[in-house]
Formats: sequence, C-alpha cells, structure tokens
Amino acid sequence: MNFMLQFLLITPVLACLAIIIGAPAKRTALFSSLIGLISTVALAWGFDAEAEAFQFITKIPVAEHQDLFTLHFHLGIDGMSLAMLLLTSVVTLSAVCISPEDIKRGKLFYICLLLVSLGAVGAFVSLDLFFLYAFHAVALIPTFLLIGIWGTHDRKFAATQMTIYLMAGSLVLLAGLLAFYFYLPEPTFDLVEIQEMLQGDSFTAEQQSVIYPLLLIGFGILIALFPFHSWAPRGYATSPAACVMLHAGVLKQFGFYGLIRLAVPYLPDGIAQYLPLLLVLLLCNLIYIGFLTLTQKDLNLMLAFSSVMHMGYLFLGLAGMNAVSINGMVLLMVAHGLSTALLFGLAAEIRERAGTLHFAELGGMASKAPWLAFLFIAGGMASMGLPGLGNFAGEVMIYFGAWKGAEHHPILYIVIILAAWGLVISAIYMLRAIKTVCYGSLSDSLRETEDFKDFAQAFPFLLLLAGLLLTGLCPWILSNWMKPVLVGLGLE
Amino acid sequence: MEFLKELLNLLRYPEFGILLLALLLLGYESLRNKTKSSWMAPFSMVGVAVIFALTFFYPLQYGMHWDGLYNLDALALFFKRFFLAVTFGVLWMGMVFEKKLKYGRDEFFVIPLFTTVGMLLLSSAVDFILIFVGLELVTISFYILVAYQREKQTSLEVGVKYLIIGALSTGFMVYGIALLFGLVGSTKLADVNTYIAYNEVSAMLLFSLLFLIVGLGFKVAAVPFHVWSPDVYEGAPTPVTAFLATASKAAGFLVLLRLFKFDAFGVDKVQESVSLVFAMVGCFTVLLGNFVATPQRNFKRLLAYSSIGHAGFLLLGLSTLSNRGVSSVIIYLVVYAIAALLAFFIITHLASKIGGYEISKFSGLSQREPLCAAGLIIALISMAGIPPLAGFVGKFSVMAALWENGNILCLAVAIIGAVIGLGYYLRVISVLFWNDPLPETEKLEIPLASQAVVVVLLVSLVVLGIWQTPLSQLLAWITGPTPS
Repeated sequence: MNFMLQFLLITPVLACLAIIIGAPAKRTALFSSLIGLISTVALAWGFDAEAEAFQFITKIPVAEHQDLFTLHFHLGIDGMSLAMLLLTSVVTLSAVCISPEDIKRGKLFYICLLLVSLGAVGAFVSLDLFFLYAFHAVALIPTFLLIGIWGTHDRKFAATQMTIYLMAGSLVLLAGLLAFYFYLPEPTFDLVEIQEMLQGDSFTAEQQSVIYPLLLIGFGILIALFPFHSWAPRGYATSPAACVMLHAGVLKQFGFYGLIRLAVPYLPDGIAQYLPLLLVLLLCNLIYIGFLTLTQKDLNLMLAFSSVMHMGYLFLGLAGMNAVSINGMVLLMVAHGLSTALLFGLAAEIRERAGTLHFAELGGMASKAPWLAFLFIAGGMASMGLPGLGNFAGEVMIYFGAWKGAEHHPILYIVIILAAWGLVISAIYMLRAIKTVCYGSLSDSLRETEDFKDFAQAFPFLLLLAGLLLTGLCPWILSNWMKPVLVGLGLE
Repeated sequence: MEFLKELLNLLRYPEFGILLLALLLLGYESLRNKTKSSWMAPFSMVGVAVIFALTFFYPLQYGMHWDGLYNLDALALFFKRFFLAVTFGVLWMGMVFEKKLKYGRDEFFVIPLFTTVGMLLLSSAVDFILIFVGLELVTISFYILVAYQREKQTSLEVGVKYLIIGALSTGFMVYGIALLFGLVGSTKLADVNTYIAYNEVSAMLLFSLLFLIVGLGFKVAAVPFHVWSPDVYEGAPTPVTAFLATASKAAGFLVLLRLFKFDAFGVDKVQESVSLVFAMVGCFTVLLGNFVATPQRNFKRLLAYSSIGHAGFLLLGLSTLSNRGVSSVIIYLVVYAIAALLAFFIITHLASKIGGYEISKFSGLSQREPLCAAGLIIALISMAGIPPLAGFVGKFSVMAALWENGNILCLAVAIIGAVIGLGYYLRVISVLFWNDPLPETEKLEIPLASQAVVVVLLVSLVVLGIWQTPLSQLLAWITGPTPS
C-alpha cells in the first residue's frame, strides 16, 4: 500500500499531461479526481487507527549537502492528514463535477484545477517541511490564473492582490520555518526526525518567542487571520466556483494543519506568550468580520466573509491547546471545508440560473427549484452549526476544549463568552440569506429557473452534504483517527 | 617540435580551444564565397558543443599552472562549463536573431567566442593581471556586441554608454589593483592573502578593496553602479542582452567569489567590513531593482531591472561570506541563468513576429503559442522564486544563509524584494494568460529544434525545483576536496 501516496500525487500530474496532449479536459480531470477519491478511501480502509507512527511511509533522499540542505521526499500520513486528504479528494471531485464542460479555454482551466488540488494533497502527505511548504505554494499561480481568466467583477485586482498577499505570507512562513530549522539541535526538515529529537524537551522560551510569531503571521496570512484577511473576501467572491471551493474549502485549512503540526507540540510557550494577541485577533475575526458579513448585499461576498469569520472558531481551538479543542479543530476544518465548498458551489449554480447574486434581485427559489433550495438550506444550516451536521460537532468540541483550557488562562472565559456571539451573528446572516434567496416572492431573475435536471447534476452537492452528515453524526470516526495524533502532539 | 608540442598541449584547456575556433572561423569568413549562404552559425555552435563535451572526456590537469597565474580547480571547471553552455544558448539565439542584422552577420558568431575566452580565463585566473586581462577581453568584445546594430541610433547610444561606464569601471579596477600591488608587491591572490594574514589592515588596503568592489559592482550591475544596465539591456541585440544578463553577471560574481571567499581576502580581518559593504549594496540592489522593474512597459527593460534585483539577492548571499552563502550564490546563479536563458530564448524567437518587446504585444500569447507562454510563465515564476520551481531553491538557500548568519535585516529586505518582484512578474503573466490575443497577428511558427530547447529548459526548471540532487552533488563537487 506504500505506493498509494505517490500514486495520489502522480495521478493529477499524468492527467495534466494527458490534457496537454489532447485528452478531453473535463473527463480526464473527472477521471483523475475520481481515482483520487477512490484511492483515498482505500487508504482510509487500510489505515491503522491505533498506530501512533506515520503510515504508508515513503522516503527518497533528494539532496544531501551540509551547505545546502538534507532533504528527503518523505511521504506518510497520520489520522489528521488522512482527514485532510479525504476532504481534499471529496472537494476536488465535486469542484470538477460542477465545472461546465464547455468552459472557455477548458484545457488550461482543468489543468489549473488539478494543480491546485495536487498542491493541497502534496502538502498534506509531506513529512518534510520543505516539500510541505513547496507543495502548498504549487497552488499559488494556478489560482492566480483561475481567478484572472474565469473570475467575475474586478477579478484582475482581486487575483493580483490575493496572490501577492499569499506570497508575502508564504515568505514570512518560510522565515519562520528557517528559524525552526536552525534552532533545532541538529537542523533537519524531517518531521519524524524532529519528533524524535524534541521528545520531551522543546525549544527554549526565547527561541519559541522568535519562531511562533513568524509562523503565526505566515500561516495567519494564508488563513486570513484579522488583520491579514483583506485578500480573502474579494478573492473568493470573484473567483470561479471550482477554484473557491478548493481554496476556501481545502487550502485555507493548510494553515491550521501547519500550526497543529509545528506550533502545538513544539512551541507551547510561544502560544501561551502570544495568547492575548491571538485572542484579540480571533475575536476580531469573529465579531468584526461577523458584523461585516451582516452588511453584505451579495450572496458570494457574504459567503466569503462568512468563511473568513469562521476562522475565528478554529483559532479559538488553537488557543484552547488541549486534546478536545485540537480534535474539534480538525473536525471543524473538515466540516467547514465541506460546508464552504457546498455553499460556494450552490451560489455558482444560483448565479448561473439567475444571472446575479444580489440579495435584492433574488427570492422564492424554493418554489421553482426545491432541490437546489434544499441543498442551500442544508449548507446554510451546517455553516450555522446545526446539530447533526459536522460544523456543530467541531464547534462544540472547540468550545468545550477552550473552556477546559481556560483553567490555565482565565482570560479565555471572557473570550469564549464573547465568541459565542459569533454563533448568533452567523445564524442571523445565514437565516436571512436563506429567507431572501429561497422564500419570499419569486424574483424576476429566478422566474425561468429550473431545478437540477438529473442526479448527476446534484451529485457533487449531495456528496458534500453526505460528508457533512457523516462528520456530524459519526464524529467518533475522526476522533478515533485523531487519538494517536493527539498523543503524538503531547496532549494526551 | 617542442614548441608545437607546447602549443598542442595548450589546446587541452578549453579557452585555447575556443580561441582557436574563433580564429579559424575568422579565417573561414574572410576566405569564403560571399554569394553563398554562411555556415558560421552551425560551425561555431558545433565547435562550442564539442569543446564543452571535451571538458568531460579529456583528461585535464588540475592545480596551478603557469607560475601561479592560472588555477584549474573544480570551481573553475564548473564555471567554464557554465560559460560554454550559456555561449551555446546565446549562439543559438544569434542564429534566430541574425536575420535582423544588416551588417556583420558572420562576425556575430565569432565575437561572442572571444567574450567566452575571456570568461573562461577568468574562471581560472588567480592573479590580478590575468583577472584584469580576462575582464577586459569580456568587456571589449561586449563593446562591439552591444552596439552591433549600428544603423540604429539607440544601438549607438547604448554602445557609447556602455563604453564610457565600462572604461570608468575598468579605471576603478586598475586603481584598486595598483594600490594593492603597491602594498603587497605582488599581483598573485595567494600573496595578497598572506600579506593580510601577517599585517595590520591599513587604510590603503581598505581603499584598494573599495576600488575593486566598485569596479566589479559595475560588472554585476549592483546599485549604485547599475545605471548603465537598463539602457544597455534594452538597446543591445537580444542574444547579447541574454549574454550580459547571465554569463557576464556570473563572471562578475565568479571574480567576487575568488577574491573574497576562496583566494585573496579570505581572512577574518577584512571580512567584517567587506561583508557589511556587500550587505548594504545588496539591500539597496534588491529594493531598487525590484521597485523600478514594477512600472516597466518593455520586457527587456523589465528583465534588466529584474536582473539587478537578482544581483541583489546574489550579493546578499555573498555578504554572509559563509560556506552556506557561497553555495547559495552558486545555486542561485545556475537556476537564475536557466530561467533567464529560457525567457530570452523565447522572446528572441517571438520579437520578430510580434514586432517588438513591449509587454502589451505579448497579449494572449497563451492562446497563440502555448509552448512559448508555458516557457515564459515557468521562467518568470522561477525567477519570482515560487516553489516548486528551481528559482525557489536559489532564494531559499540565500535566505537560509542570511538566517544562519543572523542577518535578519537583510532577510527582511530579501522578503520584501521577493514580494515586490512577484508583482511585476504577475503583471507579465496576466498579459500572457488573461488577455485575449491582439487581432492583427500572424501565426507564429517556432522551429521544432527551438521548441525542443524550450522544453528542455522548462523541464529542467521544474525538475531541479523538486529533485535537487544534481544541485547538491554539484556543490559537493565544487566545495569538496580538489579533484586530481
């Protein structure tokens, strides 16, 4: 089974080459992402949830020189990577599914989509920090092209702004990784070696206070932490549906993935030292961005702001710094990825039918397109945190975990109480969006609307919804996978 | 007979091989039937390729030669191969560009060979006299090449600019060498090293160092000695620009490496002040190069400023004067040269068909000529330093060297420079990919062989970014024990 991870990485590359040579673009991309999903499920099947070590290891030496670096192409997964991989493959498949076959310059479009997905997969399976970083950045330029060519409104500005912002974030992150590397007793980028090396003792508080802020700002820019969030709403609102599904759904989670991998186990003092700052910023994400979300008059912009806002909960999980809150974080990362992808995908469907996403011009969709409306309501409910869907499970665990963490940092009690208002805010804007779009008098723009013609059209959305239900009703699957990870992180 | 044997023996060294090739080609040119088409281009390219291949197969004698003038070590050999490979690429571009030349089509393939001889000599020179001769050979042949299209006013103008600035920088060099000779009483780098080790650092020594740095600063276009480069890059024939941006710059850094790391001033006493100078110059070069590249409308000019920015990164890497820093400079030079050659190679092919180097003319290239657009985007992304392309490995190692050295300010400047740099690369990419093609354009046809070159360079940029084994082996070979 060890070849499975390479296989996951090679499939999209081969698919890209096939598209360049002249294979039908959409079908090839669909085929490749279907294979991706099947092999990820197979991985989950063969995954040993008890084992503490990384599984499906591949290690190929790439560079070895004392003045350059000792790098290994080191692949492997644990429970957390597996959860992210499943998220990636599900979102990739549905993103490819909902993209039109006759899109202009289809070859380039599907190549870019596959590359974005490849970057995410590569980042989640890499056990070498160099490749983890490099794979994440693979997505940068394809995203730029996707938004610039197939986006809407002021796509040119949005794409440039987003790419430069993310590049800046990546470079700050790189500085953080270099700090991490050089402070190690024996510098290495290999996560497994780092784990063995830092067993028990970690960096000194002084070193942590250098590394952690760099990582927090670097990852924070990639995640859209306030005040580095301004690229996200505009970028997401203008980008084509498939791209935003992958970016907001999957790539943004990479930042948390990195923080959990590096900051939680090795930089606890750093996190504690900068906790007040982080708490203020996450409250800004929840409350300030939440209020901004309330004022949006366009569905896509509202979803984009809402996605940024929800990052606040995830940071709250990080602030909690215990097994429950980190477990909740991973759960919410998956659920948020699925629900965001679902909502953005549906928004694209609505735009295709109505030609607009302004709330003022939408209304009464439920009477014309009940399935579309049902899915939209389900997505909205998930995003609001309705019990039974994944987000609820994640958010509850984060709140419980944070409450537990507040024993060490009493300030957290206040923050949790304030953050709870985020739930209210998101309920207000989501319910209002659902009311405006689905109910009320039928708007002119939706008069000719048709529902999904067949199962195939609704399939990508049902797939995402199924994922949400699965994480919501059976969160223990993920928690079981996470148990050994949490032990490895030193939290249990 | 002895004399002949000596002469034949000389041909073991690639510089004399190239020299002989150049002289033979000149003879052929003067004797050939002018009514028939010329074989200059293929002859010169095959000659360079053969000599390049011979450096791998022919047994070379490592070590000092000619009374300590000339040192053949792994560093020298690597740079010789580097210069030969770049020359081959430049001659290929010349073959495409030739049609635009009114005069001297034949010599267009000979003069670069003389430049190459100079660079090859420089790679091995461990004596200030030979360094000076090598630099002059390079610079003087560039005077001719830069002003090659003499029917054009801009060409003449940049020729004069390059001549004056070049002469000025030579003056600085000579002044520095003369001061140093006055102190040390020898022009050998090794003697300089010994002198510094056993004597106090005097004002005169620092002065001579400063003059040397200024002289070489002109060659690598470091701020504030960069003013010539944008005009010259824009006005010179494109293959010559490519030559300047890659080989000439590398030659400057090679001499800097020889002087300040490997041979002459590799002593702690002076390193601190040298390091500070490089760090300051490097910071300004990174910032100015990248900032001023941002508003450029002409692609060659943009590449000129971007190459100033890259020189800044190289200087920052050099400023650490650590082993890691030197390695990062070598890696950076290699990956930058591949990307720059790729970019210049493509625009040489395109310019005649789309009528100029204005960035707007490249509009919608991805739909007209996907391979060229792919090559350009890969080259630009690599220069911008986005993983997983080779350029990232260069930027990464420079940043790592800076961090290791504790030079956080320079690291911050490097990050700012890289972010600004991405801005203008993105602008070019957006023109290539977002825009629709201009209406009145003819079908572009790139010869199959050139397409192959584009594919090879493109793939090597991608592969080196993911699989750095060749780079690490190269470093191990260069910095390892001298081969015998």
